[in-house]
Amino acid sequence: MNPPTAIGLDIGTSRLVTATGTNTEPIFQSQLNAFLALPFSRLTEMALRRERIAHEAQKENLIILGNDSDRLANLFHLETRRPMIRGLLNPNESGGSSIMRQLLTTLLGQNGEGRRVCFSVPGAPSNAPHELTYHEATIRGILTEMGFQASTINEGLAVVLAELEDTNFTGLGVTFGGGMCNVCLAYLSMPVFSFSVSKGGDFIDESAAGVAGEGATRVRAIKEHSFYFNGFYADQVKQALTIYYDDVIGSVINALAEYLSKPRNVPRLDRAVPVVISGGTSLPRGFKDRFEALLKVAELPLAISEIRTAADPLNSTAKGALVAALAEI
Amino acid sequence: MREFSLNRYYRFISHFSEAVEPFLSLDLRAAQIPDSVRKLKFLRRELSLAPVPSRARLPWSSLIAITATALALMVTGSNSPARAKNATNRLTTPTPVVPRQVAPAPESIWPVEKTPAYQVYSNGLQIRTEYLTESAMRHYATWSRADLTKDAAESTRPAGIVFHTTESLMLPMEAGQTHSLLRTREGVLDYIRNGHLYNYVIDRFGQVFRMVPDGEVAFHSGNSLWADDHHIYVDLNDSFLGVAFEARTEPSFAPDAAQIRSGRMLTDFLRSQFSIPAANCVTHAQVSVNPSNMEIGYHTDWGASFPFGEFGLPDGYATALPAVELFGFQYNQFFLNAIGGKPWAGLLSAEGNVTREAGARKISPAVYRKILQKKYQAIRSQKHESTDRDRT
Repeated sequence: MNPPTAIGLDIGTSRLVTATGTNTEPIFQSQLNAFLALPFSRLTEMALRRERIAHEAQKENLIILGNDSDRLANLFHLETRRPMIRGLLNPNESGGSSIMRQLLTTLLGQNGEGRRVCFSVPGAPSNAPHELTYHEATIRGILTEMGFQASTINEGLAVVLAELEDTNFTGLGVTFGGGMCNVCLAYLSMPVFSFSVSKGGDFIDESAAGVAGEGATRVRAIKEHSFYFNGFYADQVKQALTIYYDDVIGSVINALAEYLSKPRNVPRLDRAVPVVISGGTSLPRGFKDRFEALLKVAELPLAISEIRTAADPLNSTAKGALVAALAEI
Repeated sequence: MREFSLNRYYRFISHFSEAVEPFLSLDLRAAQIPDSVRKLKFLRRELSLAPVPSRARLPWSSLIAITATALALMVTGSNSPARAKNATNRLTTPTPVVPRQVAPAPESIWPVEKTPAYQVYSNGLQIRTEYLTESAMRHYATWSRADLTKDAAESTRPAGIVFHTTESLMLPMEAGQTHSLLRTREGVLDYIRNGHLYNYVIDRFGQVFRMVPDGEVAFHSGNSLWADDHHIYVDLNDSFLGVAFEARTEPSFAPDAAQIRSGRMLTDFLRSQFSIPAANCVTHAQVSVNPSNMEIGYHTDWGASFPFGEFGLPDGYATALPAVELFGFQYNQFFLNAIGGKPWAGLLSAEGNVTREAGARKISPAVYRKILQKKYQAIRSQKHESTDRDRT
């Protein structure tokens, strides 16, 4: 009999990431959580086949999924579409759950064969708690139909499980994702509190694009390839990125400060806890220092021992989910 | 992968507050597990959160929600009066998860020889009586373990034995020191007699001295607490016999062979005489409490290395500690240091039971512990009322 296998799955707004194998040597695979719908034509379909781009004919469209969708969008000067928005399934995409299923199939295969998969869910957004219920139930339903044993883990907690083994999974996990940011304080692996802020990389891209008069895709490309924290930029796009990055970091810290402003929410931990930051939006050079500076100004009633960037910010949520899945076997 | 560093971790936990101190031992044990999956399994199991088949259909997020609420209460120390009241109303004492160990009762032991200076018993025990003094008669109340109500009848028979050390001067056990050893013993016995401190003392040579009659009270365990399967005993001077070894409690200390031999015979004799269950043969460290800060271990004699096995007793350190399990007492690092740095299995078991019971009631361990502590205060008040009544 084969040993039971487990999969950690990070359901991010912009990327889906799986972690398999062992917790010490996880194997990651990722897929852009996006798709592109091109009008159906025989010529286009032949071109896609020739380029070996995975696609599916749906009614009047050719649907290109995942990583390839971004490449083709750049080629055709189109915008990709997202089955998720701000961390949850996009209610404006009527076929969102169907696209999500296809995307998951590209990563997980057709048949779950009873394998255990632990997928990440965001903390409940204060403005739309019911959407989280729908989101979680839909993803669970898809995975169950595919034959997996599905369980969930809070995204911030997953980062704690991935990165804070040396403190017995005690500390604050903060993810800066594409659609939202998640915060979770865990004590001995148990979540003390968690919440999410509905701002992330997409907000930065769109806001900066708006003020700089550029397309969001181009702004994202600048952000991912050449942006770093530098105080002040003459370049308008980079200056706008700096401002909106500050806005996102500030929103997370403000939400944390507001949560902790109620005495009953302040944990009586007279110990300094580590903070680990993760997620694709935390990648620019200088992000950690900026976060640290803004956190210091906030003077939270929670002693912080250190602030770390996750060893692998793009994959730490999936790794934490894998640890949780393996622990359930 | 980040290399596991125990030193770093010890520095980290040095900032612990009282609020999470009960989890110190859990934290320490978890720190020694280098693999994250094994560590997570361990923590979930210990915190009664490991998904089990009957709960497997519950989404993990539901479990998180439940535990997050419970843990938030625990860590914040916040309390919902309604919830606490509700929990109080439903409070019954938990069934011990770790079954109590039993040891066969000693066979009948009878007096063989009696002189004004000593008595000899059929198992070879010789008890010297030249230091015997009088004290108050023994009678005491007990409380039901099942529902924490006061038992109707008071008792006059010793219900158990508390083992102590005299913490007196320890000279080398050498022939050349015999005179000094005897003089030291004399001073110790005088002191104990004057203070009515123990019912029995076993000196360095294994000689047994009866200091206070069995039916009378010795003042050996003032603030203390114990429970067997049926009864709860509070302030054990009047319910338990005090047996002291002329010794000092140190982690490396081991009693002399003669003391062990005599201690075994005395224990057998007392158990036989008063039908004392093995579960009620305990060390002072196991029963001592400090009601002012609700911590155990105000006294720590025999906090480690008491030779239960050689006394024909099951390992008392493995018994779930009633003060922790039933009344929410806690402990600190000083106590841990005094008992050798590691918590007893029974201490961990008691803590686990508290966590489990709190989980079953859907309240935090901290809230549950407060409820238990109030129960202790109530019982202690009843105890003091009856003592005051006796005095008047």
